[in-house]
Amino acid sequence: MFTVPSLSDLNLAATLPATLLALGASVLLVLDLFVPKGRKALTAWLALAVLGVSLIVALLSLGDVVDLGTGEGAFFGLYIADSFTDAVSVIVLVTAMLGVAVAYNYLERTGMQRGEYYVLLLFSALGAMLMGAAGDLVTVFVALELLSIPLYILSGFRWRDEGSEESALKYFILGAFASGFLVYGIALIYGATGTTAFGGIWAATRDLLAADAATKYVLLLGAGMVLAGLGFKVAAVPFHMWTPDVYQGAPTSVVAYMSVAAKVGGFAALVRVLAWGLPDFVLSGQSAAAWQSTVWLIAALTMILGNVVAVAQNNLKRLLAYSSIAHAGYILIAVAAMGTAGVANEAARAVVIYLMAYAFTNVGAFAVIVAVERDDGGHTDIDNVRGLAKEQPVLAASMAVFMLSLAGVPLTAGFVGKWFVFKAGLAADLVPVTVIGVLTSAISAYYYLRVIWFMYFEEGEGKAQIAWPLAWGISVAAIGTLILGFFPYLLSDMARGIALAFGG
Amino acid sequence: MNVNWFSADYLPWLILFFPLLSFVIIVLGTIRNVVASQVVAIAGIGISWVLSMILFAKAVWLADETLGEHVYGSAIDWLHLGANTFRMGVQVDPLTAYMLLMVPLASLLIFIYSAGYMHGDPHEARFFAYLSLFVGAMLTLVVADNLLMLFIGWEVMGFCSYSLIGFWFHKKSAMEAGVKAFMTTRVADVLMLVGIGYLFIMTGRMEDGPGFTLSFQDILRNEEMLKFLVNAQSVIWGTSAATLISVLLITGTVGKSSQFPLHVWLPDAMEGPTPVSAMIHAATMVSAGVYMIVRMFPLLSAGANFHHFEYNTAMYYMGIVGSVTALGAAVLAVGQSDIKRILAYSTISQLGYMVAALGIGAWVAAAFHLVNHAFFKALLFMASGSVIHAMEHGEHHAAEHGHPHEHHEEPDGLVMDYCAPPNDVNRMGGLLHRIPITAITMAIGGLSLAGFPLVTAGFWSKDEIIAEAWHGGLWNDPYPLFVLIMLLLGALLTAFYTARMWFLAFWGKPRTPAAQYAGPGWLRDRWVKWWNKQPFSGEDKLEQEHADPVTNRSAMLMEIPLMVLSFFAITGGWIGIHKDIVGKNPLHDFLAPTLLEHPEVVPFDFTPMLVSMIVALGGLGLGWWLYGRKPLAAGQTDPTEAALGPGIWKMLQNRLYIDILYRNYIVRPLERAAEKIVVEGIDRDTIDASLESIAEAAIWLGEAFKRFNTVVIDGFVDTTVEGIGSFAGWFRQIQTGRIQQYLLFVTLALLALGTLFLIQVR
Amino acid sequence: MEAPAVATELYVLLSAVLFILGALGVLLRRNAILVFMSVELMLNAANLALVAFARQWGNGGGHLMVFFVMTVAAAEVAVGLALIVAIYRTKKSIDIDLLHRFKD
Repeated sequence: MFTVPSLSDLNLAATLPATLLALGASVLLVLDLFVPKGRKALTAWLALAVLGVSLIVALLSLGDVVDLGTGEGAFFGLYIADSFTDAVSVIVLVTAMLGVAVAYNYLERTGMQRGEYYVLLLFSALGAMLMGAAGDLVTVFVALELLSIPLYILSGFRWRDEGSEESALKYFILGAFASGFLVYGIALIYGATGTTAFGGIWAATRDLLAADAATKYVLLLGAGMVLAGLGFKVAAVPFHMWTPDVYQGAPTSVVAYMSVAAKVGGFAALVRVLAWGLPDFVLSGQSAAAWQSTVWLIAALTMILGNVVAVAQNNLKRLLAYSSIAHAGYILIAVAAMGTAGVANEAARAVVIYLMAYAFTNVGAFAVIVAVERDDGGHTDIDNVRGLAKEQPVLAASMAVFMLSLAGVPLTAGFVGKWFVFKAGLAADLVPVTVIGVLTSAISAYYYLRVIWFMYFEEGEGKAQIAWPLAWGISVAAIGTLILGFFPYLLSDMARGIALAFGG
Repeated sequence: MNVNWFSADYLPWLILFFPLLSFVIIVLGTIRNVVASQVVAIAGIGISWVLSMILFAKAVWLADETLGEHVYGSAIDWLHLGANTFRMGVQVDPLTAYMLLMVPLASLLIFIYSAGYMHGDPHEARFFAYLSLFVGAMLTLVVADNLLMLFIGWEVMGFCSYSLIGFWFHKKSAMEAGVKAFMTTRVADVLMLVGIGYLFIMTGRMEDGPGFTLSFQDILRNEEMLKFLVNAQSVIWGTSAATLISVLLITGTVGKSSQFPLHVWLPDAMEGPTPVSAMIHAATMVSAGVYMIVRMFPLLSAGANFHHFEYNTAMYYMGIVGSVTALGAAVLAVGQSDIKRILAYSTISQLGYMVAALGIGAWVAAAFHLVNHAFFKALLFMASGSVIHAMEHGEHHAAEHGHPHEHHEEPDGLVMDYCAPPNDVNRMGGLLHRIPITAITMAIGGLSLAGFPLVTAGFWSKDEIIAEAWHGGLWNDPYPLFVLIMLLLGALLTAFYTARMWFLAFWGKPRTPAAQYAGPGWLRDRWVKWWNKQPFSGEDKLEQEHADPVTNRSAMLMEIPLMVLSFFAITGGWIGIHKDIVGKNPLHDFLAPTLLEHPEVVPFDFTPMLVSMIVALGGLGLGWWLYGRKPLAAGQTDPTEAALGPGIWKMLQNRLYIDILYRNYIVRPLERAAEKIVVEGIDRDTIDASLESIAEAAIWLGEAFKRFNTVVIDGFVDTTVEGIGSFAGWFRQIQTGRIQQYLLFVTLALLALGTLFLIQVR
Repeated sequence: MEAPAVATELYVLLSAVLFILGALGVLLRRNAILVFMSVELMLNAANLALVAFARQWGNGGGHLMVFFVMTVAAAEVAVGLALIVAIYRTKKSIDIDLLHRFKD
């Protein structure tokens, strides 16, 4: 009556990229104790190695070079190993590697060089990866917390500095509040459908709608609360308020990493929940999923608020914080598009493409701020990049590339991402919100160009501190941004295999 | 893969490659070495020009008759989209070949001219880098075989124009002008991009079609596709997809080619160095806009049967916007004193002719005028640059001769009726004897612009547009008649302001010391010798003057391109004379196969030709009567000003108060509303200004209409940034930094969203 | 075995009340530790709902989730208390309303 599952039933091999990372992180946690204080470079290298191995495995799996495990499910459906999982893993791992490269010198010169940094970074990367692999709401919740808790700690990593501590506590309280909503939402969905697995939810939703039971309101409420919980993670309006404050206060190297990783994780989970769990949640008399109009409304608000408020910012970290809010809005267009039958796969691909483009660009942009920032954490205003082009021509040129990419100028990765997202929006007949997207990205050109203007056309000191791991990180990010912009088929090929089983 | 890079199929890649290569080399290598940068830039465009000529020759003399049905070209796979593959490539059909005759040549001459004009500027190398990128982008646009690649060139050009207009970034006015140009064209670009995206989506919906595509061949030479687009319903107002796409694309041109109502950026673009103006007005930017609608004409006119005077929405849109622009800009050009601004409005007006020509189906005429205009407008701009240069020199010379420098205060930012002293035609006079080559070449360019009958290029192409409007207008329909009347009035004014400009600048006696000592230009010594020998010189004998070799060299570099362009400003028109006059119209025969449905030739009619001759000669004659017969003396009022009265004159100089009105009625109220001090009321200035303008409106009919345009359009563009700024201030109030207020906000927002969520369930 | 004595709806209602109480606590209390306790209350309200639903459906999914929520909550508290201690050291106060250094 109760069969004990064997190890092979778990299909452990399919989870290899994540498993390797989990093992590596755990081992590193112990190993770091034996690394002497002055030689934390070793920890950083080991972290890079763990990420690298995991990245290679994920890439091989994504490219269908090797076939890990049997079938797409592992741990009885808690973990799903398909192209989407692999693509999300690749994005997260690339981000994490850049994050390590960006952090090393910064930690050294600001006196924060401690081994936990890298271990925590690995664990949060694991959380983000698992969010993309989630096949069950339990996985979503655990992965979300695994992503978030290390990030709370990292935000406060410059302890004894009021700013860093404040930002950590703010992030924590707002995050915990959002978790509460998520968990309660999960409870309600479970109450309505009797299961937490996406497959089961999907099947139950159909029955529920067919029977037209009143329980569908419970489901609706639960879905709304889950949406709010994840919306917080991706910094969508109205759950965005923590973003600028936390980004400004947290150590910049942390922000470089978390601005992308948290977003990737959040969106991956959103795609899984909405396109896999609830695609057929179509109320009678409507053609698109019940959540679509809400999501596109949030997308519109997010784009407008993010872009408009960014115009008025003078602190670069805050400016990029609002910019990251705005970018969440663009991606939400694609998420909303998933609600239209037949567009789901295309839209999910657009999400992945956008995130990949965004990863290189945004980590790069923050890395430049890391270089400009002083040891005491100050010097991050837009005034501080005045004349950067004269003193540091390569650094300024890289920043210009990142800014142009964020603005979505053709021949940069950002343009490719926007192209696919807007295309998905149009394909789903979400014309108004797509137009808002296009118009607000025209607004965004203003504040991105302003940064370029300050670097190139204003006189100033333009001091920056660059050492080689940071220089490599910035170069990789800049070259990646350009390559993906020149050869967009790299991105579209990466996402080609993504097909969500139920959403279609 | 075997690629013969010099076959006509691959040559276009090389043509666009070399200027881009120059850009890269200058940026990465020679940025600190001015001479090397000049050489690299000129070599890049030079090679490109040679290759273009080879390609053009091949297209004209060596091609099979079917060029058009088949095109030269090649493409690479660029993006996999499910079942389709998006290909990026180049193509050369007759239209592209004709453009390749003009773009590299005009650009090459502008480059050579820049070497003289920018001499001594601290950022000269960077200037050449931008110019190279600018041309590279334009060439990309011209040889592109699909709309996306065209759009990439289009956007890169937008960026270059922003950088080049604001090139002298220490000047606040230049910076503002750059931003204005960028923001204005960007508004249009965004709409155009939506159009492109929509076209892309629609092509994919066609059954048994080519799938998702933006390729010109797949769309424009595919009757099924055009029919499908005409019949497909679009998302808005039950219009067809073709109409919606066309209107969006044309809007892109309205911004790029500076058509009413987005014409506001071009006159301010004068703040950039003069070679940039020549570039923007002739070879690249604005030509790109018209080129795009010429290229997309089969789509824009899909569903219309204009040979039988049935037009569609897109054509009405083009015709009305074009002809309103053609006349309106000509009116404004009459009231300008800045030589470059006169030319700027004349460009806007001439582009209006081309757009209006497409609006009535005169496709060949539009392409013809596009290329002719590029030649004579490049000539005019470069000549005006030479004039300005000479005037600046004159100022220094005058100081050496004991005339103290006049003190000019540069305004801080854009001021509408401010005219920089060296640009002011009222401060010139008699320059014919100082810079004779410039004077003569500018006269040739001016005659071409005015459409001097039978000889000049401008006459033949403008005449063809007018003839087509006449053909449709007199017998059939009020719409072509409207276009015809607007264009004829515009032509009259064009001839008039051209004559005014030339006579004010070059004729009579110098009106300031600066003009007296201007230049001297290249070959002035010969001119002096020749002049003094002539019996009509009478008492006015000129003195020889020693010019130092450096000045002489840069004057030469600037004036040689003028002479080359003069040749084209005359002869460029001879290839397109109506076949009933000379037996064969080679241009028409060459271009016609570009379109699937070959354009028809309207029967030759002597009347419109006579009318356009009368109009051109009348305008020139009026100009001569007012300015040539009795040249303006120093301190005398401009006769046009005297005739119109100071009120209207001031209005024209202030560009119909466009920007002042916008400041009073849009920006300030917005700012106030944002600052929540509406209560404090409107200040005195605004009240006075509004009373004043009400009086003006009553005096001058038609003003109201233009004011509408001003407020809505200029206001929209210029306020965008400030408006956003004040909204941002409002939004920022919620960002208090207090956790619990955030939480409260989140909770309230959640309740609101939840309510919405539940409402739609019901 | 024997019939349930209390209807599921009542449990869920109670959990909703607890959840709202928790949310109000987070919104209104200024002491950071009390705010944490309120967050815990929200999570436990969800746990109650999960257990009630699990009994209703007769499967283990709800219980499973509850275990994870409890574990994660413990981890959260550990981090949260550490943060509070750190903040107390620098500010000598755990009033969260004093934290508004960053704002627009």
